[in-house]
Amino acid sequence: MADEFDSKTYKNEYDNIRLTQNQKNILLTKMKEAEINAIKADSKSEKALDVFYNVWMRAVAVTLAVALIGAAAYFCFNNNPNNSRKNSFSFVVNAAETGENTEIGSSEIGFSSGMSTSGFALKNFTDSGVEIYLNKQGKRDYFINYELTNLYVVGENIDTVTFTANKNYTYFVLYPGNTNEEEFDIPQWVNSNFTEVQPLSNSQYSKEELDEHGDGMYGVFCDGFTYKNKNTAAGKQRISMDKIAQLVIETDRTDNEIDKWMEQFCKASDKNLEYKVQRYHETGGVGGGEITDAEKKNEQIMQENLDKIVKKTLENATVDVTVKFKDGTEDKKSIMIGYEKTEDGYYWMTAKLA
Amino acid sequence: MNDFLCTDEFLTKIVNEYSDTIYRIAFNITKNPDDAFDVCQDVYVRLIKNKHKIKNEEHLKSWLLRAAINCAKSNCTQAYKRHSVGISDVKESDLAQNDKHDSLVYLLMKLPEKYRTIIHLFYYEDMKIAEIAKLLGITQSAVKSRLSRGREKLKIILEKENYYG
Repeated sequence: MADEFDSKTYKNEYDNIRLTQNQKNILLTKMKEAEINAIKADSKSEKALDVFYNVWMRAVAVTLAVALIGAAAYFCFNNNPNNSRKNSFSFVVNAAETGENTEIGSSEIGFSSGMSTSGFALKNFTDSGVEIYLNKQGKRDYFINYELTNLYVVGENIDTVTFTANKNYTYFVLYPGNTNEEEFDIPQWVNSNFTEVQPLSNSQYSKEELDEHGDGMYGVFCDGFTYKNKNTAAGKQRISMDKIAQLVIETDRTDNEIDKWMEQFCKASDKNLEYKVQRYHETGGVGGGEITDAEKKNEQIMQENLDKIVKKTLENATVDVTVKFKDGTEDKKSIMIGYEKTEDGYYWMTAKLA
Repeated sequence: MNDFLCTDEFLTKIVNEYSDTIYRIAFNITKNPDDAFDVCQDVYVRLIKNKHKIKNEEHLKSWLLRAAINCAKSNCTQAYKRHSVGISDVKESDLAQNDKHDSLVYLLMKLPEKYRTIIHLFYYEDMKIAEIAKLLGITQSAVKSRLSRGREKLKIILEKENYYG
């Protein structure tokens, strides 16, 4: 087996990929800091380290995502008179950076969408290394995904929570990223909390195409999923949905208007890639050099076109949320997903009861 | 083991002994040196949080590798990362002319992650099929299949890039 691969050359080359002593010192410092915080936390609460860690992670996210965390929302709906008094569920979306819950009224439910310019294109690895994978119309598609940022399902006696997307070109990607520390040391793409993953039919691509051309790193695509609550503790429970599932918006290239916006997006994106490569040559490294005004303008064009694409794709889009309680009863509501411009000029994902 | 895990001696030891291993597997997945270093930091902070789970030295290495793979994948799935230009994208544009990127390591980066991770674990870390299967949570036949397919795809890439001269 090893004869077919030049493992000696590979090893020799990879031996040169290593950390500097300075980087190792940084690692050591980070670990000691974490250790000290852990000791401090133990004296107060066993949960405190999670707070430290979450704050640290959020700080990194805030630095990189730049003002992408939006409104916080709270909504409680469990008005089924047939349910027992203890059966209840609600949604809570934390104000991510403050750690405080903010109530914004009973008619809204919050998904706070952070990543308004996020997305990826499928790639073809088979023909000549790496190329953009084209759809049936021979066009490039783009996938924008939105975190259910800090979305928590809160309630009592919850057995499972099922999310189902009901419109073409909107679906979920499951990220069993094991942010739950208790499950961290199980493999990345295995998360025993998902008891059911609905087949994908809302995409113009098959599951096989997405698996093959998504580089194996984008999780599991599906129309919906059921999340098993394994917490058996009495009283109110909180199920964190952030980072385990995201809503995906796919461009529909059979729609003439979206097609036109996508063309403009691709044109600006390609141009920026050229600029980045140019800077790569000039500075000798990826990401080097200052971003030019021309690049900023292209970023703006990309953002504006993406906003239009997402807004149109989400017209009349709904997501069903069904909670099954441990006594077998269910409560179900539909959420209308929207995309609206806020006072600060940015588009954010919104969600209201249907 | 857990008492030892708290000492400065231990922290220094695991940085000296394992950080390059973590960095290499992270680089293999993220294809970016800065991201790979971020992953290293993430892995070590997680280790401090999860040190009570470490059973022995062998388990420690296995845990670190798994954590590195998990963190690196999470790093790649972060949306803002996908919008940035990676090494392979620069090469892909046919505008980069850097000899460094004609190396086997960089050409391997053209493979999908699911192939190159297994190739790295098999050929660089000298792990057995069964060990890789356990680490990644997939079957041994899946490991063999990806190893075989990855090599085939790499061969095509190497020929197209005129690697053999």
